Amino acid sequence: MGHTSNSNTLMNSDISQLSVEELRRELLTAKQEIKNLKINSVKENASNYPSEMEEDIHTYKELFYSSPSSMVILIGPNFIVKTANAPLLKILGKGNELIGKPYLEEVPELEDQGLGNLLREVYKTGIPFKANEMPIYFNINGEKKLSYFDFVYQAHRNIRGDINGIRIIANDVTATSKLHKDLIFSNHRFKELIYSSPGLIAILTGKDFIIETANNAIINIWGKGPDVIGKPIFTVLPEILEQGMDKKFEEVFNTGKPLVAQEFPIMHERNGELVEGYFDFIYQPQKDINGEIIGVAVIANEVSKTAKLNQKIRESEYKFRQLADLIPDKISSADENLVTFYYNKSWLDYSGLTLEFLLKNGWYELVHPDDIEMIDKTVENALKNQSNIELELRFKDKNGDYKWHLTRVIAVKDNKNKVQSWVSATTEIHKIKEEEKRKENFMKMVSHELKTPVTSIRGYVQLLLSMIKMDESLKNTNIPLESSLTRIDNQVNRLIRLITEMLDLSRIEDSQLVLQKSKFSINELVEHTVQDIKISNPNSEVKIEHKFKGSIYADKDRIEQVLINFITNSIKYSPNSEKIDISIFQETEGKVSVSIRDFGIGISKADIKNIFKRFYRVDGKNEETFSGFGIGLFLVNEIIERHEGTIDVKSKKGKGSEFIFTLNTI
Amino acid sequence: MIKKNKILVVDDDAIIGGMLKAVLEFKNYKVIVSGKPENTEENIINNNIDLVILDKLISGVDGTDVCTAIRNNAATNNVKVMMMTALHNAGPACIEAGADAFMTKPFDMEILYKNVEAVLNQ
Repeated sequence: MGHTSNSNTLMNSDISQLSVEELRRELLTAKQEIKNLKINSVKENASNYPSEMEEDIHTYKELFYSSPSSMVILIGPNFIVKTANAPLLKILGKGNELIGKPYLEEVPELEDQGLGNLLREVYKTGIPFKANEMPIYFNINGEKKLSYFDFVYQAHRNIRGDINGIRIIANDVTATSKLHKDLIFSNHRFKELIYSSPGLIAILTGKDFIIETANNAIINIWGKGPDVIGKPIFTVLPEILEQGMDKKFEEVFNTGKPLVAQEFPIMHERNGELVEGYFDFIYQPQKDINGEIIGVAVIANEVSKTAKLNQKIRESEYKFRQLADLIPDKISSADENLVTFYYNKSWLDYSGLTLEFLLKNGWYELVHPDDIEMIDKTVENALKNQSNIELELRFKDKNGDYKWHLTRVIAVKDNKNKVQSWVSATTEIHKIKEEEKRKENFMKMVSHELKTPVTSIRGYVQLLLSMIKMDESLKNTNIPLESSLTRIDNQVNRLIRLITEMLDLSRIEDSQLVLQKSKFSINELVEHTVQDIKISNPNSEVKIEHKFKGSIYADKDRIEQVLINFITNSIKYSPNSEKIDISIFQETEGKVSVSIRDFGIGISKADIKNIFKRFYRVDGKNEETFSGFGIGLFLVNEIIERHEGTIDVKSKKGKGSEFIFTLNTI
Repeated sequence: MIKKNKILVVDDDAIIGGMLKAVLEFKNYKVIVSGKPENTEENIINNNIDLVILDKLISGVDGTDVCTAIRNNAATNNVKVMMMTALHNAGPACIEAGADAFMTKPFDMEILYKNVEAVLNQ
């Protein structure tokens, strides 16, 4: 039956010009039939039963109002709404009040979107307008609501065929349209992601692991062309089958559990040669919507360079550890906060402790209680200044005996000069230390034993000289008494100077091992040293000027020795002037300088370069009369260098010299 | 001649002791030499000593201990003490022990005279 077919067409929402045409024709036919019926009913004196025509109208009305498609009929050039079904009113967000009103005035947003012009065009020309997935918005409760529509605008004609309005039939396809778009977009993005990825990506489907997708990166690694798509992976890469990779794929495929590997070596055949590469990879099972495993995705990164580097680092680390275990010294490494994380075998052997115990409790446990305070200070200072450490301390051995050690700790800095870690080497110096102590006692004895007799000789000679001076009869004898005694006195003085220098040299060479640093005021040290010197040189006029006051972290005894050397040198080489000017001043932030200036014989330019050399002595008629081995300034230079300080000399022959040494302040 | 002060030299080395005695007596000081550091306090009291010249390194005894004992004895703590040492860096220890001055051996006699005079006039 014709009606049924029409209703089916509409029910299927298959809006096409053809179906609408059909509808229109059937409506026309229906209207004609109604007319005929009316005539007939008048002729047949009006029947009370619904005629066939009335039944048909009812059917069309039902059709119109029950259609899920939106429909509206607009009449006249002002597009007065004649009929509108519920779906249409719903889209517009309006009720039945729309009926009888001009459509474009009631829904003004249509004009803004150019649809008013479209309506007028169709009304004028009669040519239908069809659109698919056209975005149209409606103002609903003051908000724009965008939807997508398939719709048709069609001229509505009267029985004579003249256009008298517009029919609109529309379907909201927003949901399907958006999904469609998202799908295309997401698919595109997915492919972009895979193909543009520098990572190696392939998707293998089925039990045979057919290559469904493989990006360029992975195809390059495989050493194959793009024609691998669609082929089973083990046909394309038989070499990985030989390496047992099939078992890994099958495991993932069968268990559904992903497989992760790092720095895994795999050989690939490239240009007929097997090339080894290292890969971080994950084999991820691929499931369909029912959760069934349908394949395996390969996501991998080639890490050959880092893997090889890591291997080298491991080898080097191993070598280092072997070396560190081999040497008899105690080696350890600590993090930036000086927390030790490595001890070599010597540490374990010496302490008789396990590595676990040492790592947990640290070397601190082994330190002699008397050395703790000094260590704490040194460590605190090193952490603050990021400076290297050198100290002598006692560590307990496995028998509970404390032995002297020399520990050097060096800061390992990164390229930003920030300490990353500390490496320390500790040597047992117990025997050296004991020897040193013995030597020190011996030197004390030698010092005393040598100086005591010369003191008596000097005393008696000077006494005799004084007596001769007082007794005219002794003075004027034929015996060269006075001149002989004077010679003895000079020679004794020379002997005394030699003894003093020799003892000084032995002292510095003995204990060159370590500087015993402490914090002290440089100004107080200068004052104190000058006082001491004045006692044995009461004629000297030493003037001290404190232009700057500050403290230094240094070996007090050694710095005192430097001062003594400079000052006594100044006295020694100024036979005609007792005046010595000392000045403590600051030229650069963080540093302090001490200047010792005399007005003596001075030094020539050529000699200034050499005076700090060991056993160097200035030649010359005047200079020869000054005794000594030429080691005083050598010692001074050694001491200042070891304090990372500097020495400056200004001198003019015959006018005097100025020695300036500069050290870091704290 | 004006009255000169009494000096006690404490040194176990008789040569040094003898030399100091000769040198100081030449300048009219009254000098007693003792090789027994343990008798020092007694000698000071008995001989009315003004100045002690004390060796730091006396066999078996550290001169600084002798000096400390002198300072801790009410009967002797007013006496002047000058210490002698052959060690270059022993000065501070001597001063700390209560010595008024110290001299490093070997010293010049002129310096000895000056120092003795200076300490006695302090």
